[in-house]
Amino acid sequence: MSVSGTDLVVYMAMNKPTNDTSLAGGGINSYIRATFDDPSSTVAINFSSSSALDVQNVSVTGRDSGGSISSETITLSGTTTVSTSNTYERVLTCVLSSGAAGTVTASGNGVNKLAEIPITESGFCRPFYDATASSSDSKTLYDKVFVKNNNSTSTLNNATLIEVSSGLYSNINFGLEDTKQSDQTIANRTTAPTGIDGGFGAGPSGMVDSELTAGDYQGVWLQLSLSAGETATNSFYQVQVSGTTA
Amino acid sequence: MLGFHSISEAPFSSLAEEEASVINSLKLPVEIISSIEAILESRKIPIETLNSLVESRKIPVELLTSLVISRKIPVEYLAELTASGKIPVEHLLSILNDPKIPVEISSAIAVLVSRKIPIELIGSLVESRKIPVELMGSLVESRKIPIEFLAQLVVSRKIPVEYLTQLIVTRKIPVEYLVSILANRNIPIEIRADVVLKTFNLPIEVVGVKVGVEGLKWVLTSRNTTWTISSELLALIWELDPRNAEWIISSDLKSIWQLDSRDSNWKL
Repeated sequence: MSVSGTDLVVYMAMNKPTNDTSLAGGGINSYIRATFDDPSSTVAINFSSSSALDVQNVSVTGRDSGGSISSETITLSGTTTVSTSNTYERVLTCVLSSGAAGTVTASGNGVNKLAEIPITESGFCRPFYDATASSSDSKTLYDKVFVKNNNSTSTLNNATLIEVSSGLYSNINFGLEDTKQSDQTIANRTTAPTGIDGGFGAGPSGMVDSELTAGDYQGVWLQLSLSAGETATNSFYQVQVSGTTA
Repeated sequence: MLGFHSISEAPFSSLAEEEASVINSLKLPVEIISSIEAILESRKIPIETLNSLVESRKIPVELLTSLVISRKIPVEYLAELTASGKIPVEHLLSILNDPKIPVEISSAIAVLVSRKIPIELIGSLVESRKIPVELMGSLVESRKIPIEFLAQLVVSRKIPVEYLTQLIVTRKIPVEYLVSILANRNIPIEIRADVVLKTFNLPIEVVGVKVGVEGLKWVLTSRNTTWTISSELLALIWELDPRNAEWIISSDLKSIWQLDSRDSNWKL
């Protein structure tokens, strides 16, 4: 079966630092995706599953309307919708205590859908959690994600990563690791990773061997540059994965 | 009956024309063909004469094949013969596809430009690699081959689908026409799923430096002891007039802070 868009997924790395001192990067976390939407207004978050077997806990961390971080854990109730007690202006992380039995849908109460957590996966997370600018110095942070081909049989040929000129594109560059499936970590997210094929940049970049075979994944480091006194913003970084399939 | 030896012993320039006219007059039996071949091999008969011979079907096309194979007839001439319909295209196919004949690209173009060859033949030529597929692009670009014709080639799978992609990318095939090509069910389905493109939105926030009321505080120090005056106290209890050189601490505050009266210098 040919590779389709739904086969291509961006996952987080195993280490997801919440500050500038913790370990960052590592191997792929094939259970936590790096893509989701924020609620369009500050609301509670609703969860429901396509499976009655999903009765595990889900932990939600986000910011309230005042910008403060708050967390809570609620218990899923299968196909019945459950809601968080807190309201969230944006979500930072959302993690199930065990892999989903069905497709778990996270939505803003009365507003838009945030994400679907596929079967066996555990949630989603925001790269550069709580990245804070300095008032006096510029700052460069690094975080790692992976692009994976979840197709079980087919290869994505001519696999290329492309930055889209929208959102935080002027603050962020990316670099592809020079070996596939690398588990490189960095001491903290202010430490530059090594082994970046061609260095960091914004231009289209071919993946190692120019392909993503079935189940294969490519590590991608993101480089976030913050100037002194950088203005607070809630935005996004947009990339495209292109290639050909038989 | 004319004898072979008498012809070959005569002056050849005149005999060649005579030979052709004799053959055309249908007075010669089939056996004479062997002598014609010998004459042709001696290159004494102009190509135009051969043309008339072929046209009148006095020389079987099989003989022509052997002549081409033995390089007695330039392959360019085949194009002319084909264009004029003097050689059946089916036979031309076998000639051009014969590995013994090196077909120059220029000759192949001439044949194509003549438009007298059915697409099946061109397809076969492309398939047999006698005509490089790259050439098809330049032919289309130069409009020597109608675009409809190219589509037929693709549909009949005589041109590799990969090359079709290349043609589309280089805009040698108008997009409008592509619709009809794709609509044809003879096109392998993988053409339509050739390119995968997916866009990802990675939500990212930047927390700005916090600068506000909380960043500006009134601090009193005395004998290494520090008191931070909250905004509530500042608003409710104190009325600081910056024009005054002397500020008086109310009795309410004295109940809160143990101020050393011996200090005369308090920092604000």
